[in-house]
Amino acid sequence: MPDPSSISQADVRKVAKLARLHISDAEVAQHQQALAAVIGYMDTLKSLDLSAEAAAGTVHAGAGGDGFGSHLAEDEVGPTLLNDALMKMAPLSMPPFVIVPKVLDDGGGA
Amino acid sequence: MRRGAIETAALVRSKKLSAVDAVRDSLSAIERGNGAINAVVETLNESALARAKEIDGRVARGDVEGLPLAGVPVVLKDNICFDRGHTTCASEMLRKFESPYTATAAQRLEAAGAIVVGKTNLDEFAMGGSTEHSCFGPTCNPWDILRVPGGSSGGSAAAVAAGFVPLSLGSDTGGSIRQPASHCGVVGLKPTYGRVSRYGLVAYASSLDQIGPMATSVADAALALQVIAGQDEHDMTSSSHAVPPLVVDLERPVGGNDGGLVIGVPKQARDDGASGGVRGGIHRAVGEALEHAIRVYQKLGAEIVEIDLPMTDAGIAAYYIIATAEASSNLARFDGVRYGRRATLAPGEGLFELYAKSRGEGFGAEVKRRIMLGTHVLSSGYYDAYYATALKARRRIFEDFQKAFARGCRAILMPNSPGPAFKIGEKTSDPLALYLEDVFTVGVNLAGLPAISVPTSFAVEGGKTLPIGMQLVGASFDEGLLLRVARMLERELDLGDKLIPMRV
Repeated sequence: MPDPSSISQADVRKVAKLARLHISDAEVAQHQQALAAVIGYMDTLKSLDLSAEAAAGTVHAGAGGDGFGSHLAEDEVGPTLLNDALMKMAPLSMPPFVIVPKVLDDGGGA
Repeated sequence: MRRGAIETAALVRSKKLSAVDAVRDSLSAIERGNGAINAVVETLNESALARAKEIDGRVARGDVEGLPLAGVPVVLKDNICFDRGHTTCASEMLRKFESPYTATAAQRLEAAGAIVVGKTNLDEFAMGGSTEHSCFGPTCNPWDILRVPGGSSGGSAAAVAAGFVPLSLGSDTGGSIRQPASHCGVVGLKPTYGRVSRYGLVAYASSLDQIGPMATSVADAALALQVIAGQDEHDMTSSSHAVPPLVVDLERPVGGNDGGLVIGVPKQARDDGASGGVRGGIHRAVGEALEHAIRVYQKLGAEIVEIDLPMTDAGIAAYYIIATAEASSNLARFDGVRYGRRATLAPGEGLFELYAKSRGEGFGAEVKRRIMLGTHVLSSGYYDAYYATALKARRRIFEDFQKAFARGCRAILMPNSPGPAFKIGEKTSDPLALYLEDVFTVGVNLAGLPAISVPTSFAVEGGKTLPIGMQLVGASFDEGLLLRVARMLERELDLGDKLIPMRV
């Protein structure tokens, strides 16, 4: 595995692309420095022996199933936000549709 | 003397003060003082006054049952959805966003008679500890306008400290209620994860986020928690654990027959050189404040025991892995399509550019940084080294706290922040330095525990007096005990009017 604390500008561009974030050349340089410093600090975890630990995705898992954890809702139809309230939030729409650029014939698409 | 929430509600219910006057007082305090500190980003004059008239109508009819917060003006951190005004998260992405619904916590405050008079500034999407990363510009500390109020709930802390309102709501993912409360000289309470519904809180890191109150007294914070706590069908992580009476028992000291008053102090927080302290060190005034609080509890009959939280430094690493991983996923919803800012595309640009340009224009530098960090730690080849390891560290941190409670500790006492409020701009160029400020708060979120910041001391920096608060951490879902322990400290210190900042 590459040394993460030596994160390169190419690494920053790759991560920005994965995150669907347009960043300028100036931002790439600025983020490279900060990301390297923070990721270098994150590497302190590697010096710990955590092999005996189970992963705790939530605190309730950590609490050992004390009965106060999250639960699933019944799979039932219930009231929700009205369609037009949601439609109103979309910056560009033609109700009942939101408008997106065409995605066919677009190699860079979703 | 300033009017607290309980006092305001009592005056309104007994018709000695109208809710309309309480709201007018609050709005004019904001109008006079907000220019200097930029704590409030939007006031809701019209809807607040209309609501106040409704409350006064109910009081006139004698219909005051279920109104423990009758006529109390409150402000909400602007990542809490409210169906009047805007919900911006202090982001260009959502500058014009109007929420079609109200967060459960805000709705419960209103149902109890509170009146939302405005929304407060924050670090964009609650990512930060200084309220400098905001599309509205920084909030200034009412004690020294050259300094930060802390963050990310800096606007909610500063608004209470400046006397705009007696009560506000903030959110705490890694210390965002406790640390600004400490820096501004107010009480800030982060409830147990699951205690308060997150419905309507714009998600930053869903396994860590909690809404909580900020107030001028432990009693007001207790009452506010009483009102907003409890299960909510809209948040599947909200707990069915019963909410006990938090206010009636508050004055009953902890000790004697009910288990004794044993306070744990992590050796990592006592920067005496022998134990090594934390990597970034602790400011002298904060160290003295901790010793002062220890002496006060000893005077009250407490037994102080040293506990070990060996993951204190590593907790920052685990927190910034887990929180940013969750953020990178949560903030994927801001795509320029469904809501928020939408970029203008050049001919030939497609869906990828719509996403990337909208997000590039809409998010500030710190949010971009955290999204990229989260994307990195989840990406192929790095997942096990970072995210999976951080989840194991999270379990260890939880167990370390449990050990302290198993030894009989009723609460754990430590600072909120290694230093008092720092100067605006002092740490903006060094994100890691800002992250290290969270050393005493993030572990509590990772373990899901309740914690409160209580003002205890003052530091003098550059000729200005700055408040310092101490943090008390309790066992899961035992906010009742935590609040009683906090109230003992508050009552003994009796800081009262000393906690009112100089006129700004």
